[in-house]
Amino acid sequence: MRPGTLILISFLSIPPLTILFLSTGAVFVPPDKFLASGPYSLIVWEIRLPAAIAAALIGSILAVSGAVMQILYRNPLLDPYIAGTASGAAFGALLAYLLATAGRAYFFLYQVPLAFLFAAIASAVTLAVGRGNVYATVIAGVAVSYLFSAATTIGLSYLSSRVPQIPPLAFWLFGYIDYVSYRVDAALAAIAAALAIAAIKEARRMDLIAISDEMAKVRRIRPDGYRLAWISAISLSTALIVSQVGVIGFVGLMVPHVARLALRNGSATAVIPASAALGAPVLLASDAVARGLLGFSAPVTAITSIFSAPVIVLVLHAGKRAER
Amino acid sequence: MQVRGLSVRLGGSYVLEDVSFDIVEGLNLVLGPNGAGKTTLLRTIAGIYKPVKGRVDVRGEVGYMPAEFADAYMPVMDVLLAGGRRSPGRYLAWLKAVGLEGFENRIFSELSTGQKRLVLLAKALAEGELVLLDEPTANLDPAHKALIMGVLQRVKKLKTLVVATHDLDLVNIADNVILLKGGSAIQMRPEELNEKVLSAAYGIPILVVEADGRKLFLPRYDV
Ligand SMILES: Nc1ncnc2c1ncn2[C@@H]1O[C@H](COP(=O)(O)OP(=O)(O)OP(=O)(O)O)[C@@H](O)[C@H]1O
Ligand SMILES: [Mg+2]
Repeated sequence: MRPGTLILISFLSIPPLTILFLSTGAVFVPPDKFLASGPYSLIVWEIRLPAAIAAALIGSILAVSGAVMQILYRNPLLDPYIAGTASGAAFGALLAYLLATAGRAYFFLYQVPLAFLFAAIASAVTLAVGRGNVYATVIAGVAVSYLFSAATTIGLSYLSSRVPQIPPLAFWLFGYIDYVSYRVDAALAAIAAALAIAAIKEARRMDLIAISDEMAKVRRIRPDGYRLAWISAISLSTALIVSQVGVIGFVGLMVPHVARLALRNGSATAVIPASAALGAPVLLASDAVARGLLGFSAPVTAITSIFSAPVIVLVLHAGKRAER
Repeated sequence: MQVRGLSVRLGGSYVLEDVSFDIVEGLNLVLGPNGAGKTTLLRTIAGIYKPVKGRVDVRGEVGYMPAEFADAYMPVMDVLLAGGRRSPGRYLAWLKAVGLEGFENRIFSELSTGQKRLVLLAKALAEGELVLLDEPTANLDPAHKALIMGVLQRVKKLKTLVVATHDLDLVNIADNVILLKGGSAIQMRPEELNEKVLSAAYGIPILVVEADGRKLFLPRYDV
């Protein structure tokens, strides 16, 4: 399949998935009632549409982030979830509530920066401990994720009695794309566009780093600094996502692999634009399932993990075959 | 082009000390035992390492082929275009020159080691006038090695090549030899590379035999 075809299929699947998404939830809204006035229009246009837009944009951001991490670290099992970036962000975002209870105002001013700080620390620790080894990095990521998830759980146990409006544990650990405002959509759109444009522009240079650090250095690219810059950008994007919708896992891991398999090409030039496009319908569909297609609502990571497990098994299997 | 008084320090100790030699047009061979500093010398010429002393005077763009590289899962064309330096047509012309015409859509990671080296050789040749090659004939079967040596012999009339290697057969197509040992360098003509010099450099007796109009180098293993 050519990248253009995959991108076209992704875009064409967004309108029907959006209609499905808008109908789905605690109350079923048939598509012919979308434009009727009354409570339906409030649900569809003020609650579900901003959530649908957020799901599509977050899917795209996470998929591009995963693709960039996998390419730059030559590690097929990396994404912001596996690397601990998201768990770190969740802990940082929760910490903002703690500061809020301590009476510091301007909660929204420091929630994202705190989430960013811990997202960056978590990613840096994972990648430093992993030292470029594929499996060591994954194990380090699991350990870092567990550590921050535990800290989040403990923090929440302490906070939930004091701050009644704090989101529940399932939100922090597994994500709920609910109650997203159009303002947040605008911020997500800016991040999605900036990340995709920058990554597509840099794709040829990323490919060079994927082949050889040495060849990159001859071209005056500092691979370590370059990787760090991207990890910072990805940590910042993850921080904004997690502080709004909690931790969403596996999209960033799975989508680049689907793109790679479909295109039979793992170059950044091919995988990044395809992931940017494909991430949107994948999370849109996952979240439609999560918010009610099963008859009840579940956190979205519960759904994405079910989609992703077969992909991970496939990757590990292919890796084993290559070693033989 | 030349290297003068070059000293390079890595991890606190000197790897190269006061190294001077000329880079001639044609094929410059860098020889020396494991750890002698061949790769370090190439990297310093390429500008990857900054010398603590001395200077490297080179002209033109540098093409570089590393000894080790990742098994990138991407078409050969994307490998060639990685870094975004030159036009596709130029890369394709060099791909043809190394004998891999029609390979541009093959997956790089699914090629043989020798073919992968040839792809990176084509890339280095397309990107530089001064082309630095680190062990281009390592792990190759006789046919692939002959292919790469044939390519090197032809392109050395167009490009200045600096080749780091343990493969003494390359002496037969070299125009200049730089022998590294213990951090310093001796420059000599390929004809000067006799049994005495080689045996001293590598620490074991190496016989030099003339056959079929070229030199064969035979290390003794029973010492
Ligand atoms: N990044 C580094 N930090 C510290 N020491 C280094 C570094 N890179 C190389 N060295 C040391 O410098 C010396 C020269 O290494 P270099 O790789 O240049 O040798 P070489 O001649 O290419 O060897 P080989 O034939 O095995 O490829 C070695 O002793 C090596 O241990
Ligand atoms: Mg070497």
